[in-house]
Order: sequence, then structure tokens, then C-alpha cells
Amino acid sequence: MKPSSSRFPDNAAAALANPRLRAALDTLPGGLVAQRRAAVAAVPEFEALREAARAIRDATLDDLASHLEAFETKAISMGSKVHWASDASEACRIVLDICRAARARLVVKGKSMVSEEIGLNAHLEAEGLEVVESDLGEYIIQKRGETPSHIIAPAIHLTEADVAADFRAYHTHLPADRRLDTPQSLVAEARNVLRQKFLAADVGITGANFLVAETGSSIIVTNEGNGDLAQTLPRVHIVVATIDKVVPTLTEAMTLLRVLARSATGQDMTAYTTLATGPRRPGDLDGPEQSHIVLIDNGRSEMLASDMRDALRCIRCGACMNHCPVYNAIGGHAYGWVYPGPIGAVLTPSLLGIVETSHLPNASTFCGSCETVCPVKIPLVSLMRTWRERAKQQRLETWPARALSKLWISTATRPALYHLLARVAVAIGGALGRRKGRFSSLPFARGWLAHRELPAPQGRTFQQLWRETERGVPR
Amino acid sequence: MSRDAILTRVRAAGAMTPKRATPPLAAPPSLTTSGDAAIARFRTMAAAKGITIIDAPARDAVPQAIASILSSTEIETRQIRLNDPAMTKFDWRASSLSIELGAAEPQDVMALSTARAAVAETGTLLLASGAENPATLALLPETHAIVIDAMNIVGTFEDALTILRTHYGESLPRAVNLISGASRTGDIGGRIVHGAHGPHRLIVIIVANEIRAPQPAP
Amino acid sequence: MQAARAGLFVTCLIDLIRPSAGFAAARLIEGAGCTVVVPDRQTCCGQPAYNSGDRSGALALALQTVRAFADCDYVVVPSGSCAAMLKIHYPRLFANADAATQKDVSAFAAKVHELCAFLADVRHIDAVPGRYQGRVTYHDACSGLRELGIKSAPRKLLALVPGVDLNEMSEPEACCGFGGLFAEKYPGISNAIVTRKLDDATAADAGLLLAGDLGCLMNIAGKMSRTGCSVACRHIAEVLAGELSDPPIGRGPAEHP
Repeated sequence: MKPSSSRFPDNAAAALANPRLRAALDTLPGGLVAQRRAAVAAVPEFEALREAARAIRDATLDDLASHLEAFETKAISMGSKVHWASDASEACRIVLDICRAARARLVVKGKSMVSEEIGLNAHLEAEGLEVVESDLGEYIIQKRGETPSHIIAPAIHLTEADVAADFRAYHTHLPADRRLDTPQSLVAEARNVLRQKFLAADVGITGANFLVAETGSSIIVTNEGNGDLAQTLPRVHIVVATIDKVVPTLTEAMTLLRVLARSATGQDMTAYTTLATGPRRPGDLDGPEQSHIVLIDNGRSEMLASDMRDALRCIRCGACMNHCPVYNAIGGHAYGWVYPGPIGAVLTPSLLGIVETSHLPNASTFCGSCETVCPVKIPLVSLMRTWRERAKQQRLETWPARALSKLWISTATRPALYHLLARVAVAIGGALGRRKGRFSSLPFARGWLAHRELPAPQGRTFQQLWRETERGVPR
Repeated sequence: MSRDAILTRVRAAGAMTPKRATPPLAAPPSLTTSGDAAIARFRTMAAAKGITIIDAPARDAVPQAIASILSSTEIETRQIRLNDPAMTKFDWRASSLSIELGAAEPQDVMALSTARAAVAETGTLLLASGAENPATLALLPETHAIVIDAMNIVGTFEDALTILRTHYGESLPRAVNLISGASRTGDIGGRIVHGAHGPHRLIVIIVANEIRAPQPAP
Repeated sequence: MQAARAGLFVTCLIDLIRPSAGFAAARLIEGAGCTVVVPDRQTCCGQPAYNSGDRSGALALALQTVRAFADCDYVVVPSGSCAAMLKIHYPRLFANADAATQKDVSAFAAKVHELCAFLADVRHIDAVPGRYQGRVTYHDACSGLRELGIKSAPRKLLALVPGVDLNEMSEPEACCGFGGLFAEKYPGISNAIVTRKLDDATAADAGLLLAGDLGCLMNIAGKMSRTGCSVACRHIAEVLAGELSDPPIGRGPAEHP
């Protein structure tokens, strides 16, 4: 998809003006946030688990090449074919070639963020394949031509009524007078429509939450079971995964699973956690005939060599966005690409460059909630601050902002001058604002004053009063 | 070739920093149980996930246990899909049930699998695919029943991995399914609905009288 | 025994906008048995520069601040945000400096305390001069809470004020949307966030909202004034010290009988 991160302020304004989006987002605090809180409270050792998860991810990334080779060797020995893609276009071409070799017409997909990142659906559809998303949220937004607005709840921005209207528009083969007024009826309809797709599909594509070097397996985590159907029923199964998804052993994967679902949805385990290892075996009655794993770099090796390495620890739980006041205000689409929220504000500049994405790391209050919930302890605020430094170095801010910050530093590093100017400014501000105690409009601070008053100074600076009044008896 | 180029870049990046070690890992004490406590915790955790739990005194009593649960619910079928010889050998007709062998078919209403292990930590069933327990049994029908011998109920995922490694060594079966409840979704309006793509209902039959194997060493 | 020398890092916002909160802080520190000094070589802690990506500007201000407080036993800061800058981020800024500078900076950082944490957890005070009759609510400002772990200290201190009835908001730890320059750069988003805070504060049914950071308070008070919300806002030091003669933040004398 074409990123619109450079238009972040406009995107955000549109989001803020959308009452239905705001209503949908208002469910987050009482939903995913409260559920996580309860799940974490139920495990007294949760902080130790976070620390263990961080250590596992760090140790794996430190020696990633060895673990990738070990994974490849084992996966091949278990009958999978392993492919490597440097970038998005190579990954898409590899998947297309597999589909063509299998004479595929219908592809059914499990949820995969990297497939969004590389634009896989559009690539396959342009070559005449029918591609159907099977995660219910992904299915809904695919029909709308949208991208996910949340990495684990892709249609979080839509209401039941939105979905009902969409289903009437798309499922024209069903009776027009059917009832679609409950979540149950909507889910049942999607289940029936998608079941036919699962049964007819030639190829199933899934992502991977983890790739296990010890066993050559991919692990997917779902609640719907759609990923399992996608990797069981079609003749060909393709896993698309970035190279950072490897874990050395099953034991390490289990520790990561202990923090993943609790952080994401507040479940201790999702309904389905599945280890898939190679194609169907002799004697098996079901399962795909071919198993392919496409290992995708697409910028990860560069991140690994950069000061953004810590961000590669991410296990895509979405907790950072659930707890982010900015995400809660505007939702995911405003971020303009695949990954929203705090992790998106770090990943997007890493993958697309800072020039077009500098709003994202700047549009944060640095409240730090994301860091406190991240199951792998990514220092998201520090990483956003590093991107702000890059943006500054590349002179991406507006000239008045640059001039003002220079003026502030050059004044503040001259204390005598600073205190003199402060006295003058505060005297003027105090005289003008003292009666009301605040300003409603000024020739500057327009952003601030658009929504709130600016409290007026009391008339003299503390430094001035401290020196001019009796010790201990102010004024 | 992309493979070598990627590995070269990754290796170069890795060489820039010292390698850190993964600390020893163990299940948190609050999630660790064994023996009867594990069975009790499994019941509690599975029930909390909406899993129906019934007991059978022995494997040959499983047909009767299923018949009784069918008569007490609205599941309208007397026909069960399964393929595990350990279960097909019993007298299903005596319980007015019929069985069909093989992997699941789209029209199947109910299927039965045998779990390799169950994990008390979260109330999770561990199923290993193969000719005896095709993976589709757990995915296609609206109701899925799982037989678990009480002796195979273990405390933690680490314990379950020990069982897995004991049975399969270094080569896992094609699919290992960790199942923790019926299929569900929260994708429409944030409300949880069951039966999104897989089963609406999950039933676990705990078989009591198998001889208890020694628990894995702590 | 000589009283400890506590340097008051007054913060630029209190210096410019609300000196009364600075005097309240000074009075509390003195009450805790310290001699208060206010070095005149202090200006801004450098956090705005640091957080907008200007490392060199932040470094210059950090060095100036470290030197200004060289002869103090403590550096006390009536702001969790500035205190976190001094205590947590200065050492990070100087991570690549020479050994002598690093030593000075870490010695400085060890002396830094946020006001409430200093009073409650370092000096263990058991009385305060202030008294206040009525229901208040307390907003946990982000940096103090998450970077310095300040949660119980302000509540312990409020419990010492006769007459104070603390009624918590449902989400006292939720960000108010200030974020330094964020509120100016992304006003619409900031507005949406502070609106939630106002709703929560209103539901707490308190006449007065307190916090330990003037930035957050200016944001919340500014929004309250704009919407006509009746909840007043003050720095917690004002209530603890009984410095209530000035009108609440963003209010004029007419609104302060």
C-alpha cells in the first residue's frame, strides 16, 4: 500500500472528526486494556517473564544468522522448502511463482502483518489470483479496501452496523431479507461464506508468530482457527515471515507465548496455538502436500545493524497501541501505513525512511505507557527520541520551529540574559493577563489556544522574587 | 543469491555486538502444579474457557459418556467422526451412536480426537496430528470432543514438551495443536462470539483409571 | 549538626508562570529541615531540546545545571518531568563523555529528588503546614510516575493535610495530553486526550485537581477554563504548604474569593 504517513496531521484530523471511530476506540480501555491488566495480575511472576522474554529475543537477535541457518536446515529435513527474499518485490515474486507452479486460482490467507507490509494481496490479484483473507477482521477490511487499523484487531474501527451494511453489499447471493442484527448472525454468515473458500482454495498463506529452529516449525496463534484451516485444507501451504521471527527452541517459544496472549488480549492462551512442521506425512489423512517457508528481510538486517535493533524484539502483541493515548484518540489508519501506535512510530521510519514519516515519532506525548506494558521491554520512547534526532539532523522540522528552538537554547545557556528577558516577558504577560488569569488568544501558541486557554504568569519570576523579598516571607 | 546476501548482512550485524546468553528458563511457580493438583487446575482453567468437562471411569466408558452429554445438550447428532483405533474398538452402538472413520468432512457435526497431553497451567489440550488423529477433526465440525487420560494431564508447557519430545524425538508430527477453548472472535464490535471458523463447542472427556505415569522431574 | 543544603531547581515553568508554587516548595523543603538555596545559574533543564531531538542543546543546558548545583547536598525539583530529566536522562546524555564528567553527572543525578518523593521518602516528614477543607483528586504525571516511580509519596503527603478528602479518578495515571511541545504541534490529538482527563476529573466530584507538574496543570487548567469546567487546579506543593492566597492556575482574582 502507498504510505500516507507524511499526511499524518490531516489523517489525524479526519480521525478525530469521525464519531463512529471515536466510539469504537472508546471500547479499548474497558476491553483489551482491562483484560490485560487482569491477566497480568493473575501471574505474580509476570515481570520476571517479561525480563526472560526480553533476554530470549536479545540473545536470538545477537546470533540470528546461526539460528536462521539452523531453522533452514531443520525445516528442509522436515520436508519444507525454504525461500529467501531480500525485499518486498522478491517475496511477492516467490509467492507468486509457488502459486503458479501449483496452478492455483484461489488463495486463502491467515492473518499476516508482513503480507500487508509487502503488498502481497495486490501483487497476487494483479496476476489474476483470487485472494481471500480469512481472519474475520481482515476479511471485513479487505472487502472495504482498507488496511488494518490495529495489528491484532484489524477492524477495531468498525461497528456492528458497519459490518452488517458491508455484508449486505458483498454477499449478494444471500437472501436480501435475512437478519444481520447480532454479532452472532454476522459471524455465522462470514463462517459459511469463508468455509466454502477454505474448501475450494488451492493455496493457504499464513504468517508466523515464531519460527522454531529446533524443530523447523512455524507457530501461529489465533482465536478463530482460521490460520489452522488455511494451513491444513489447501494443497499448498506457504508461510511468509520476516527473519526476526526465529526462536532457538520450543522451550523459549513457550516463554514467549506466556507473555504474548496475556499482553495482546488478556488471555493466558488464545484458542489455537499451532506448530506446523512440513507437509503431510505418509499415512496422514489431511494436511498440505507442499510446505513452503519464505524468509523475508525487507529492512530487518539493516535494523539489526542500527540503533533500532531493540525494536526487532517485537512480538506484535499490540499492547503498546492499546495503552497509547495518541492511538486511543486517532486509531491506526492515521499513522498512514501498516504498523500503527508506538511500535509503528519506530518501525515505519526504520522501514520507509524518516523523511516521509517524521510525524510519527514526533506525535507522542512520551507518556511511557507503551514501555511499561511491552512484553519484551522495547525502549519505545528512547527509540522515538532517536528518530526525532534524525529528523532534526535532516532539518525536517519547519523553519519557525527550528529558529525558536535555537533561540531558546542560546538564551537559556546565558543565565543572566535569560533571567533578564524572563523578567520582562513575565512582567508584560502578567500585566496583560493578570485580571483574567489566562489568555484566550495571542499572536502565538495558536495550536495550544485552539482548544484551551493559556494560564497567565503571576507577574514576577520566582528568581526575581526569591532575591528581592525577605527569606521565607514571600512577597 | 538472496540467501547468502541476507545471511552475510545478518552475520555482520551480529558481529557488531557481544553475544548475550539466554538465562535458564522455567515455568513460574504460580503456574506450576503436578499430580492431583494439576488435574484440579486443569479442570478449573478449562472450565473458565467454556470447555465442557465430563468424566469417564475408563476408555471403554467414553461412548456412554458422550451419549449422556449429547442427550443433555442441543447437539443433534448421533454420528461421530473419529479415526483413533484406541477408540474405534469400543461398542459405540450400545450407546446408540454410530462412528465414521477418517479425516473430517465438511458436513460432519461432531468429531472425537485423543489428546497427547493436557496442560493444567492454562487448561490447554495438546493434540498431535497423524493417521489416528487427523488435524481436521479439531477444525471442521461444530462440536469437537477430546479424550484425555488423566495420567497425561501435566502441570506446565515445559512438562508437555517433555512428553512431546519423548514421543517424537527430534521430528514433530505435521501439526501440533494447542487448543484452549472453542473457536472465537472479537472482531465485530469487540464482542466475543464462538464458532468463528472452527468448533462452536469443545468437550473434554477425562479418563480416570489409567495407571499414572511418573511425573517429569521438576 | 549543620542543616543539609537543598538546591531548589525551580523549573522554567514555575519560575515564569507560577512562582507561588516555587515558594510553596521552598517552604516545604525548609520544613523538612534543610537550608534552601536557589542557584541563579539555573534556567531550563533541557528536556524540550532533548525531546525534540536537539542533543547538543540539551547537553549544554545539562552541563550548566550540573555545575550550578555543585555545592548542594540535594537537588529538589517540584516537577516529576524535570526531575526525571536530571536524574535519569542526564547520565544517558553523558554516556560518551570523559570519565571525570561522567562521574560529576552521576554524582549530581544521585542528589536529585522530585519534591514529593524527597519529602515523603528521603526526609520522612510527618507534618505539613497546609490545611484544606474539601475534596481533591490527584493526577499522576507521566514522567514522575513511570520514570521515577512516584505514586505513593504525594498521597502520603496529602494524608498529612487536615481536611483533605482525596477522591481518586478512575484513571489517575492516564496521560493528560500535554507532552511538552506535543500540545502545540498536535493540538487536536492533545485536545482529545485532555478531554478524557477532564471527564475523569469531573466524575471524581472534587473541587480541586492537584498534580506535581506545572506543564500538565497548565494543560488541564487551560482546558477547564475553556470549557467552563468548575474544577480548580493547583500544584500539590501549594496545598501541602498552605500557599493558597493566589488564585488557582489559569484563574483571575475575580474567580478567587
